[in-house]
Amino acid sequence: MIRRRASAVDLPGAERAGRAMARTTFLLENRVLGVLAFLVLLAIFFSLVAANFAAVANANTIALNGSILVVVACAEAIVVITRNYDLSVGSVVALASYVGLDLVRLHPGAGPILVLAPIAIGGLCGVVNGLLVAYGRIPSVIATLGTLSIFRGLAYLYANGQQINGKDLPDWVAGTASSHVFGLSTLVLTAVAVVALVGLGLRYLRVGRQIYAIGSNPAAAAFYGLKAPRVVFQAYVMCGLLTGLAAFLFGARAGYIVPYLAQGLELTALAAVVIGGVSVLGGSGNVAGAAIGAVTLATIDNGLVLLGASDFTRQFIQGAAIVIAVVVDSVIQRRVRDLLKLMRRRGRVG
Amino acid sequence: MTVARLSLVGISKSFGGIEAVRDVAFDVAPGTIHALVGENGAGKSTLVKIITGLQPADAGEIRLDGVPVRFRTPMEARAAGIVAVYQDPKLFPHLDVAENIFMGIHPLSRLGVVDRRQMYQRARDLLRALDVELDPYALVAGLSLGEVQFVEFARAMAEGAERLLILDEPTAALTPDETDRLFRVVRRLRDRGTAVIFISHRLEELSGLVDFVTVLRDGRHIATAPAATLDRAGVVRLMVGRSLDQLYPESPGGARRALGAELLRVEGLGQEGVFDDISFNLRAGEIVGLAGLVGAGRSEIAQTIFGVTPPTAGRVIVDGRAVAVRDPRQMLGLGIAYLPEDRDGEGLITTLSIVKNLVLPIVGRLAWRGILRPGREQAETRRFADRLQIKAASLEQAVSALSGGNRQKVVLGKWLAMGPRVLILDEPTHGIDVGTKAQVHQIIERLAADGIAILMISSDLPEVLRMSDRILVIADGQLTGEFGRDEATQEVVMTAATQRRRNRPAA
Amino acid sequence: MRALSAYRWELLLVVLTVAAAAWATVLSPYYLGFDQITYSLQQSMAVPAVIAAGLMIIVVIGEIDISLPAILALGNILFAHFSQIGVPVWLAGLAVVAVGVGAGALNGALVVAFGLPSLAVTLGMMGAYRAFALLIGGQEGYAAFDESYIWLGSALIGDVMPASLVLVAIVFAVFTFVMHGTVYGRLCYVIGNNARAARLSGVRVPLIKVAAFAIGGATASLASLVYVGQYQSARADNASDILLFIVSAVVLGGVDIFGGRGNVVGVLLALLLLGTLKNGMGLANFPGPVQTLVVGTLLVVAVLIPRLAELNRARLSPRRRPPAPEPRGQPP
Repeated sequence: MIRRRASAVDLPGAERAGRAMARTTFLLENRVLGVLAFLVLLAIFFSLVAANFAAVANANTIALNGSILVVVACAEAIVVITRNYDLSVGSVVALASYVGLDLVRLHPGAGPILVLAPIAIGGLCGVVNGLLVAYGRIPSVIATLGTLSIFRGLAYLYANGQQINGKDLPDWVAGTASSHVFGLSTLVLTAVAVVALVGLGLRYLRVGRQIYAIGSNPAAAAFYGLKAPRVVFQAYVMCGLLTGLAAFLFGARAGYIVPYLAQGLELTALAAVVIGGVSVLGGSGNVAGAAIGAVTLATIDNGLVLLGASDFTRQFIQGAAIVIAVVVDSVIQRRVRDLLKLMRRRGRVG
Repeated sequence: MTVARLSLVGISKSFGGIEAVRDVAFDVAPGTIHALVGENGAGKSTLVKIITGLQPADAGEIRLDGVPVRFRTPMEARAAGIVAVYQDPKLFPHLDVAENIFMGIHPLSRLGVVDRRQMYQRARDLLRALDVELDPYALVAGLSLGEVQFVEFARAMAEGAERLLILDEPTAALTPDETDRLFRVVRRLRDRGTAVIFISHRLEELSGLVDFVTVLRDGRHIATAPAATLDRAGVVRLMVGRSLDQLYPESPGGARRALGAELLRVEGLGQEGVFDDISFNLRAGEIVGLAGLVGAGRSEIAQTIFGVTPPTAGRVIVDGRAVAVRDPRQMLGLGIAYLPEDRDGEGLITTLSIVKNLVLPIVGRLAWRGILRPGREQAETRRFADRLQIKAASLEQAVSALSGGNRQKVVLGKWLAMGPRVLILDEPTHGIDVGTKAQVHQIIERLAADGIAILMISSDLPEVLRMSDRILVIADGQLTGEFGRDEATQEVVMTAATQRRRNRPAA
Repeated sequence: MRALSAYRWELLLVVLTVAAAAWATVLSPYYLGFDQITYSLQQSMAVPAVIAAGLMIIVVIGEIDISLPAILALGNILFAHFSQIGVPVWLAGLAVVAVGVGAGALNGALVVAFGLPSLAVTLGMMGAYRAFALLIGGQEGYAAFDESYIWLGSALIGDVMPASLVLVAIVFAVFTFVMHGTVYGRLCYVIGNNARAARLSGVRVPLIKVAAFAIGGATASLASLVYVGQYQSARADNASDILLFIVSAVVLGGVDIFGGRGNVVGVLLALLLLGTLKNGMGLANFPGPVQTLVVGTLLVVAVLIPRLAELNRARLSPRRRPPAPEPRGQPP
């Protein structure tokens, strides 16, 4: 709902300020549309410029490549909304994928229920992160930088030099990656389901709303009795579980599972989240945006490959996109920051 | 006779040895609007915090409808039907109006999830009951301060303030129109039987609204009377009625100092949304007091002059030359120093030593080509520590270990070391013991005698009256009075401080 | 005795380093030789040490820069490129450091101009710098270098002391002087403790912040001059795992991650500890990721201990609850 409001305060300049406010909130409320528009423009650009872009087969490639990133982006988004980071998602994918699928390999008869194995491992990693950040009060950058190395080291130790061959896994594993339901890839459907479920959860569950509140104004959240540590902890656990799911999909798609897969995934995930309009300052954005951001990144990558662009261009664009997205976000949020500062100042008065 | 909705008996509370309220007792009848007035530091906020469960009282009893109660948390008070709307909005700017109203008290559907449709519906209902035109889907970030206040109010309604509603300065950010609307709602609540405690210093607007008035002064209850029996002058007299001589000895008198050239002048200074049309000047050797109630905008005026936030209107003239105000460093270079109200947060770096704090503005000057010279820093610090009588075990200890009074002396020393010509002091004796207060007063007078122009912001009326050669009064962001030493009395100042804002046409 | 307790943390680091050295000696008796120690230290910590010094200043002012390893890689490529086109080494060195200063200053300018969280900005710039490295050096990078270029990373001064360790010593001596003896250093600590009070006291906060980032960039590119000589390789993906090492060194060195506290000597001691530990792990044939695991665990433990002590203190005095700090994500 977009509303144009003129400020009611009768001081000079109020009219101007009122219009500025309306502009700001318009941008804040409709950022996802902006990202979507950008994606559409991008797609049009590539289809005009790159030979095979606008083909169904190519769209398929983008969808498959992007699906896993979409799931990870949703996971990361949950944490970023609380004003934190999770830099360990790449390592969590490696650990959950290797150990989880190894368990599957060791119990071939157990059936698809074992998809819970990598998910659970991811959840455990999320618990560790959550404990460190929410209760240990360690800055999330440091904590997850540490767990990044710890989780990957554990994966390596467990693997002990071995690798898991996709052929040794029961059929249902690979089937998940390649099968189709009603003509749509299971992978894509999973991604869509994740976005829908997480989006709904953030919108309709109390803890979902509290996640936004804590990211928006931690002081106010404390005043209303919202338990910030518990909510942040839950956010990390959610992130871990979803990353575990992504780990499964990763492993299902890969021919060989090695402990050093998904290196650098956290940076791509953060890029997707930031491009998708989730603010690193917390409190705003949604998983739909993060998903679109992920698809955008996948599209950029795909289009650039088709154009024969060098690795340089791809990496540069990814880095530049993050910087631009963060700068744009900061400008949009200026009004929000001013309001927060004003509230803090009035709080001291009296 | 009906039982009082709220009955306070012998309520006392001290913070760290300083008495905030003592032996306060009065009743609030159901279905009445009860004004709670008093100048800054009278104890109103403390009382509200005790009633709503944010702070426990040290002594005394609270009775709700005749039943003694003790609330340990605001949530317990809310459960009993007592809700307060504070001055500082605690809202989530990224979320919309309805979410803000219901955060933490979301209506739930049968499945245990948030019933969004009901949330927006109830928000709409609440806002309509408040007679305010707000879209429940609007982001709070885009609201004006007045609208934010209404969201706070709606939240209080949502929390269920059936028995007692406390409003702390609710009209501070409202237009006359919005104020009228608010009053209509408050009257409706009263008619339904809710008791309303209305804290405000805008005495004129209270006259048509409230049924009773309670006056607090220096933490004590002074009087409770039907509003009809008190006029504005009477209320002001009750608010300030104290004998001045008991508190501060007669000052040597302003004639002692010869006033020098004009060092600072502001003309039509304005900060959009905070204050406007402020004009005054400062002469060397003069102490000008800036009086007014908390929230009037005095600190903001000082910070604008100092360059913390550049002004949106008006001019600042230093030594006869207009200055384009940019940042504090520039103003410091012109010889203007500002001692912030938030001593520990902005005036000092409490984790660092006395030396490091005191020499901060001149550390470059004391150094040799960028290399620190601890010897000189120590010597300079010792000079000012002696001159200001700073009591500390060692100059290397962290400032956090010092008492409030000594900390203030460190801040003073910091600016004196720099050699300012204009010194703006924001609440210089706030939170300091009596003995050190007197010392600080002496220091200030000595500085004026040395030719420094001093602008002193203070909410302590006796202090302002004693120290100032001239008093400027700010109310709601406007200059409402200027008084010389001879004509200034507590009543005259307080009357100007509680004056209603003149309406200005929108640009 | 009081002086001793004030340096508790540093003493602990020394003790742990000695323990690590003892462990390394148990694994390989040759370790204790002077030549061996200096050589292994050069291999394990010379490059990170130089960067850690720069990162320390950035952390002291309350920010972070994770693009430093990327600036290192860019420096590598540029340096190697200069070697290939025959630029005299001293000129090339100056040019590379100049680029590093520019890159760091750019990071700082973005943070200061828009008030952006430094993590997000440097995350993006990291990709950009590596991308530039890729552009100049291509996928394969460089493998052949002029003799003079590899001197810093491999030569022995007087046949005894590795030149790179001498550089580390010089860098740390300079930084100790800057941080603890100059106006600039004092202002860095002031800003890290309370930037708002600093501004109100006339401190030029933006300038000092940008300068800190610029110094960080300079150390990263200075380190690349060593890197090239040490590994005789220059590729855009160099040093992708060095970030953990330098962050751990800074944190283990007692520098408060929130800013305003810490000394240079502590960081040097932490580097010695980590370097010795790394050598020991190498001798014990720990695989790379496992070594990283150990360092990561050390990082987490190093941050956790003061926190647990704080929580414990809070539990013991239930009456005075310390005010809960704002949940620290990345403060805007």
